[in-house]
Amino acid sequence: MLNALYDQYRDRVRFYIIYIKEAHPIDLWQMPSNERDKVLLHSPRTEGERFENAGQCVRRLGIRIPALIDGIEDSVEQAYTGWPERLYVIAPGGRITYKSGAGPFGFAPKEMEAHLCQLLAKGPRRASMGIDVCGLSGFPSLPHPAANTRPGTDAERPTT
Amino acid sequence: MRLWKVSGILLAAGLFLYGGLTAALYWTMRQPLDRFGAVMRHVPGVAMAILPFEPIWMKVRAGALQPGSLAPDFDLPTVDHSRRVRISEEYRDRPVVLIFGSYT
Repeated sequence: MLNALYDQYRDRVRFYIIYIKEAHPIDLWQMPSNERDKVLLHSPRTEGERFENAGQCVRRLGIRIPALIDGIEDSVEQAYTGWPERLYVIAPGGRITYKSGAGPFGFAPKEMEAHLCQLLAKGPRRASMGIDVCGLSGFPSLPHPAANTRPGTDAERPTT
Repeated sequence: MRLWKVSGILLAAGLFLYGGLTAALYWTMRQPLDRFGAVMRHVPGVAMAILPFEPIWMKVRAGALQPGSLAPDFDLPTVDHSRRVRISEEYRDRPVVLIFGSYT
């Protein structure tokens, strides 16, 4: 889902994964789904370890979205309350226009996509050209909101 | 009469227990994330099904930023170490989508 969004909108929107503190490391609150999928990671104690975890994630899940790595002090995660997962849309100029609920319950890529479509449709160039950016042929109709997906969940792995 | 009394006591005890556990869950969720994880690893899954985990979670993890807030600026390295990205440069002329998460 996330890779598909990236492929669909990357010519108009910048996408970044912000890789943060592990949600379910084996030394803290491990999940049975992670055990099944052999995603067995400790909480990183250094930036190097976090980079390693992030690299594994990107490679194994085939993530095409550029990934940025939060520092071990978690300053960006704290500023955005990003843990364990969250989505934001920032309009040109820097105002937040969409903030998802906290994951996993509130992590809603389809809801975010709908908002992104509206934002792009409001853009001055698109409006003046009379183009419905979300109604172009080939754009998949927005499906009924489904289960949340995130890197590492049963729903998301490995179909990014 | 005695049955009603016993039932009433049991109900009150059950509500008291539920309230206490809910309060404990709320307190746990407000702890630093590592401490939260360390506590939750010992909580049985059934407790999460019975207690109001989701609504408390959504409230505790709401965060201060809202639509309309200015996105906090940051400068972070890419996973391949090839460059650093300052987000204020990225959203100057285009929308930006941020996806917070981890592998686990």
